[in-house]
Amino acid sequence: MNRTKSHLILLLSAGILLLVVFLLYLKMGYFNTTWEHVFQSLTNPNDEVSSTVVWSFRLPRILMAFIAGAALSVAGMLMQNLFQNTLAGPDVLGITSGSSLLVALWMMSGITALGSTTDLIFLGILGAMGMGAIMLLFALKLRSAVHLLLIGLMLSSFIGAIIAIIQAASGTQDLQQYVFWNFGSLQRVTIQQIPWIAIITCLGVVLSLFQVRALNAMVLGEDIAKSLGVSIRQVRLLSILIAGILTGTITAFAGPIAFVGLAIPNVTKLLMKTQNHGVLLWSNILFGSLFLGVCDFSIKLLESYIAIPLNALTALLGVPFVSWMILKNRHVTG
Amino acid sequence: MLQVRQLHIGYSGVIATAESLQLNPGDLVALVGRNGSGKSTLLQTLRGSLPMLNGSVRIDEHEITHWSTQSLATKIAWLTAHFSGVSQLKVLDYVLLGRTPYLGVMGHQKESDLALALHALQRVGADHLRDKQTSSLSDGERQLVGLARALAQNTPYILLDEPTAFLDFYHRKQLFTLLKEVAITEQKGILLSTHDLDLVIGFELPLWLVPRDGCIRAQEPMQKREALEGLLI
Repeated sequence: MNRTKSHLILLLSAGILLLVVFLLYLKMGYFNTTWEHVFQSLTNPNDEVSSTVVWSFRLPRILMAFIAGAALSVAGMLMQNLFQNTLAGPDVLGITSGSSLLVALWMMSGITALGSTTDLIFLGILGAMGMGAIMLLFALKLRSAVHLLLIGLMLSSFIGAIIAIIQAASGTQDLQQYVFWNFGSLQRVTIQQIPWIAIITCLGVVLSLFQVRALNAMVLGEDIAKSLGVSIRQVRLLSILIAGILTGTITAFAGPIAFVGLAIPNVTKLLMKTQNHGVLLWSNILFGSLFLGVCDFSIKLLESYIAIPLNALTALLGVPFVSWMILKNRHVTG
Repeated sequence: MLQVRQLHIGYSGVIATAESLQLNPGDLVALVGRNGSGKSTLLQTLRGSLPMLNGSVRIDEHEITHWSTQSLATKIAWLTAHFSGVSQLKVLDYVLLGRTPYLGVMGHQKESDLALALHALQRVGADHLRDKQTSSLSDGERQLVGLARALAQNTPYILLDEPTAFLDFYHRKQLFTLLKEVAITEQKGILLSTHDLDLVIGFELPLWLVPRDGCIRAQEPMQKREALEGLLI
């Protein structure tokens, strides 16, 4: 019972911090807004400049930070569980590179079908789903999870090679556009798109909830999990499907965001000191949101001095923090 | 009753066969045979993890191939010597995982599950380990809490793959004593594969022999090690 209490305290603190970051994010920035402006824009957005700044620029960006942080952390948790490997993350299935490939092709070809933003999102999701489907087929055929991991990593390299060839053949401007997409960015998302991304993320979370029992047993390895009545095939398919949907959606809207999905599930496990995935799921959602929220908040604060790409900041902030966590817990084995 | 008839086991080719074998609740049976003779293959087949090539395995007159993974998990528990602990997983939570086949998909544990897990830990005399991390257990402790997990699973049958492999003589004897007690008091059919011929003879365990010709058969308890070795060569 003691442990439940400390879990609640940790999650509650994360929730409060999340709210603080949210409100500060809406208020602070290049354009000066007062608290009245913020609350007025939230409750009753109008055409005034302050309202537009808060409602159309700041709000979608911070919400996207929260949603992306949560989605990628949950996807990372599922992959680390599936492969029983703390080095796994949402990108091990080649899902991110599937999106990257189609986006690279699209940028270099210069063909626009439905308008640039819609194309980007559509192709991002299509690429992720394509790779997800390939990995699902492998998951059904292969017995060993390690082989599945190996295939995923190799497919990523394979697609990386194709992207390298495309890059080598393209002009400076296209190349620059792709590099910027690759940095990851939360600024492209509009407030109208947020509900859709949120709904898809919620769907992923709900599906994950329905396999908490299986995820808990998977901790003991596939062999024992099976003897406890878990259908390995079903866990694999669902985990890959959920991680695919989550990662694919986020990558489509924000580009490939690195590090979060690898680091947050590990930090969460160290902080919560449990293998109960019912607890880990909600913790990953909160800690993931908070981490990416803080990252983007820092980017915004430093914006007038230096423009830091999102992917650079997640690692710059994350690596020292995670290293410190690991050092602090070095006496815990494995 | 767990019944084996005309069984052919193996991966692509037949490794071993069993004409007729039977495991009853209350029995502790030792599965003995040389390395590579097919002991593990038999255990894997019995718990439905490896498809049988031919023949039948029945639990209470029902063919196991017809059971779902989940309902089979309410009949047979499985324990290996290879579990080496998981970080951030405490012993009590580990034992509670034995309740997995009875939980809903969201994994919510009831008070009764906790009570069963605690009872199982007491049964194996490992109550004092409940708050310890599984990754910091000794080999002997690990087998005890593993047995507790299998008991919490509340199945009529328990299969163990070389549970004494990493244990010293004292802990081997302790585990055999405990298994024998559990088999009788809890009325469980327990089958364990082992190379511990001295203990098998000392505890007068009935045997399933896997000789080199691959025809697995039941055998009354043996008195002499030499005689038993002779049957395996």
